[in-house]
Amino acid sequence: MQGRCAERKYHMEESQLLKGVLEGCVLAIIASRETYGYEIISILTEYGFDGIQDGTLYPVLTRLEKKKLISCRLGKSPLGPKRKYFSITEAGAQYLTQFKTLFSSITQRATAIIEKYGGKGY
Amino acid sequence: MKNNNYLDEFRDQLSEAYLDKYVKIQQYILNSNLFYDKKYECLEEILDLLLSAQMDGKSPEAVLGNDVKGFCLNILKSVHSENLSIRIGVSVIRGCVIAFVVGLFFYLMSLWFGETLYVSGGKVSILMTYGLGFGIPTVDAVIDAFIRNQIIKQGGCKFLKIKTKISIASSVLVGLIMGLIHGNLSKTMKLDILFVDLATLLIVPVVIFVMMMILMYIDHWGGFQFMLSEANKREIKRRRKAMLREGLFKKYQRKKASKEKRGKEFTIDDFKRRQEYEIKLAHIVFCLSLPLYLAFELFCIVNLLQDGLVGNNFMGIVLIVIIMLVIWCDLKFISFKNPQLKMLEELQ
Repeated sequence: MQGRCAERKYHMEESQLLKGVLEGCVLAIIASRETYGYEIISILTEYGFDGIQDGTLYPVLTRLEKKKLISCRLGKSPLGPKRKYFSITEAGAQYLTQFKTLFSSITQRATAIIEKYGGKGY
Repeated sequence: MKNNNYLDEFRDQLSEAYLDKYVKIQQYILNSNLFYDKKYECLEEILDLLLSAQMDGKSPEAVLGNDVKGFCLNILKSVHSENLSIRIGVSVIRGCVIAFVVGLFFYLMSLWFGETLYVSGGKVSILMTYGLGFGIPTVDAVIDAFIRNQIIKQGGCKFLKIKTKISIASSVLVGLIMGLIHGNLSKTMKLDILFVDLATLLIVPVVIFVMMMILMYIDHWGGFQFMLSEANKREIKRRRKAMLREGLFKKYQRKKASKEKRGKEFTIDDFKRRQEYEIKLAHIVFCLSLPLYLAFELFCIVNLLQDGLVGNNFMGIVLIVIIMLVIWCDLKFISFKNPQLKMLEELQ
């Protein structure tokens, strides 16, 4: 039994951790200024979030819009096609403040546990 | 077709590597079950994404990932979740409308050729009407899904060119199957259960449509709580204004594109003049029709109270509710005149 357990390898996928955080990150980017899809993807990729090129951003934007945390307007892009521009709403700004507090608190607690207990004996 | 040509001018700016990806995405999206205008809205957004990435010198994989199908599914998921209730509502209404058309066809046939297995006592077979109404779109959706999968796996589908013929053949097959089932059931079951009258076939989609309009309106304005909240009335006004402004601007763009295609000039002032005329004319029509609706509503209420309307209180109440909603819509359109004229003045 122990041997069989030792053979299994569990890989932590970034997407599992990313699910809870991506909405907050996207909201933070939109809060800084009115922006659009490609710009958001570029900023996320610049900060190392490589897994979001497969279109996962779009359901996130739709969810945020449904929750009335962002608003969307259709404008013309300098390249020609129409483009959706997103800006944060009042409710979104409040949500972002709560997210920042909660994220900071969870990160601190998780870091403390991992630093104290993680890695010992392995 | 107009939308397709409009996007082609942007598509032609894509390099070979981007174009290859875009063609696959285009085929996938165009064969999806999105509404027509949503498909082109999606494609336009994707074109902007690709052109932006191309301008920055990035590879297509940098914005699309390696899995085009996954990308398309995520895009469709975001659009579907946007309007899932509307899609369900429209699918149900479409099914009911097809059911009514089929029912009407069989009924008219029975008037000329006499009653058949599918028409009895002025009523039509439920299986033939609703069976075809919901069976045909379902089979169509399955065929679309199969073709989309083939496009993504193999870059194309040999059945795409004959998709219409396949759809027609499958519709006939569904009809035959429903007919056979009805034929078998009519031998073993009470005939009344298998038939439905035309009035019911007509009223059902109307009622569902009205309910859907109400739900869409409530959903659009953020739900009952949001609508009634004092703190959010400004947000409702702002969104209504933005919606009117965007609608006007889109209309101007469409008319301008149409005129320019015919080699004619069309300025914003031309549009404003024409639009002002249309708004004032529509206002007159809505004002003139309001007393007619009110008179009809009064007539229906009086008849209902006298128990005389269609011999059925429930139908009478439904009719009164529908006319009330029509009157409410009419009043809304009448009240739109001044905001629209003001919006027109601000249009640049």
